[in-house]
Amino acid sequence: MRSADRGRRPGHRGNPARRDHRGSRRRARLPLLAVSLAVTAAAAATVGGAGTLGWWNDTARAQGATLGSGSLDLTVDGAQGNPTAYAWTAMALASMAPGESRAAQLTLGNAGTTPFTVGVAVSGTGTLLPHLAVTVVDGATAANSGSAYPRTGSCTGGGAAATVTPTGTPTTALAATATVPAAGSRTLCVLVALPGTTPGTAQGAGAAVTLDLTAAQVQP
Amino acid sequence: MRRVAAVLAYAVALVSGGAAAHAAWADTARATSGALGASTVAVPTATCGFSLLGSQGFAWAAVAGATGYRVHHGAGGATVTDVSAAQTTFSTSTPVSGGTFYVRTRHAYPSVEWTSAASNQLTYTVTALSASCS
Repeated sequence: MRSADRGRRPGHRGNPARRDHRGSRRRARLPLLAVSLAVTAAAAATVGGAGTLGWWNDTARAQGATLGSGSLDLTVDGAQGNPTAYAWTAMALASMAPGESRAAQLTLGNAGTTPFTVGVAVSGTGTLLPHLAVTVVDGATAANSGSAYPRTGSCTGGGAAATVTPTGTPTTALAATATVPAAGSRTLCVLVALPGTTPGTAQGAGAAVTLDLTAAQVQP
Repeated sequence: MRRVAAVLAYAVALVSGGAAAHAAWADTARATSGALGASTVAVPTATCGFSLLGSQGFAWAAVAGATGYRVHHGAGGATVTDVSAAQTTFSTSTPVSGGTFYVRTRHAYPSVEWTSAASNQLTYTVTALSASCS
């Protein structure tokens, strides 16, 4: 703007007619000069001075979409079974004689939103434990018959099955059941047998069997 | 938007523990059975029977489900005699002084036989001219 001021000074001191004439010419040219200078200054200000370059930025925000995590929740006969073990009272049999067995089902529920399979490991406590044979059958139905010797149980149908002799340390019986879908369920049939050749030294012994169930997410 | 995308990608990588790692979810539960117990073969109770010249008798009450009995007699009860379930008496004329008598219940299953614990023990003496039991 100092350049514009200098341009006016001669007009104030010179011929008014010429001043007007020249002044009108200057007035016509001054806006162009001012605009040019302003643009230059603005450009300089925008780039932050010589040697400084700024990135162009733009932002946008999307609203309305909700990102929610899913859940994986295994239940056993409707109970969490963790941290307190589910008391599986359906699996109990007193005074077992050689050749007798008991079958009972567990309902594995998927209370979450993610499909999973269930691994089953068997362990237990008690001096009768090494004499027992525990069979786990995925998806089978349990049935029991007889109120006098021999009382026998059975698991009918289903898929994968395995029999283990339980110890104090969990032993894998089933690596994975079939997939339990979200909000779905699957039965697990367990047959506990006292084999027919069990020696008499097992008389009066007792045990409790524990199933450790591990639900693993089915990878999409 | 590219920065936002890059930040998001980085955050996802951090959360997932790296591009190649995908932690699967898991949940556990435990179920514990009720009591599982093995049966016990009932133990008979022995009593002294008739004491006659040179012979001592014993008896015991029949045990339901028994398929027989195992009789221990003689010195220290070392002599063993198996009898049928229908037999609930036993006598011996084998001379012994301070012999021991007790009986066990036998229970036969299809593939194995279980016997009960020993009954109460009786002490007896048999000679050619006498017999006694207590």
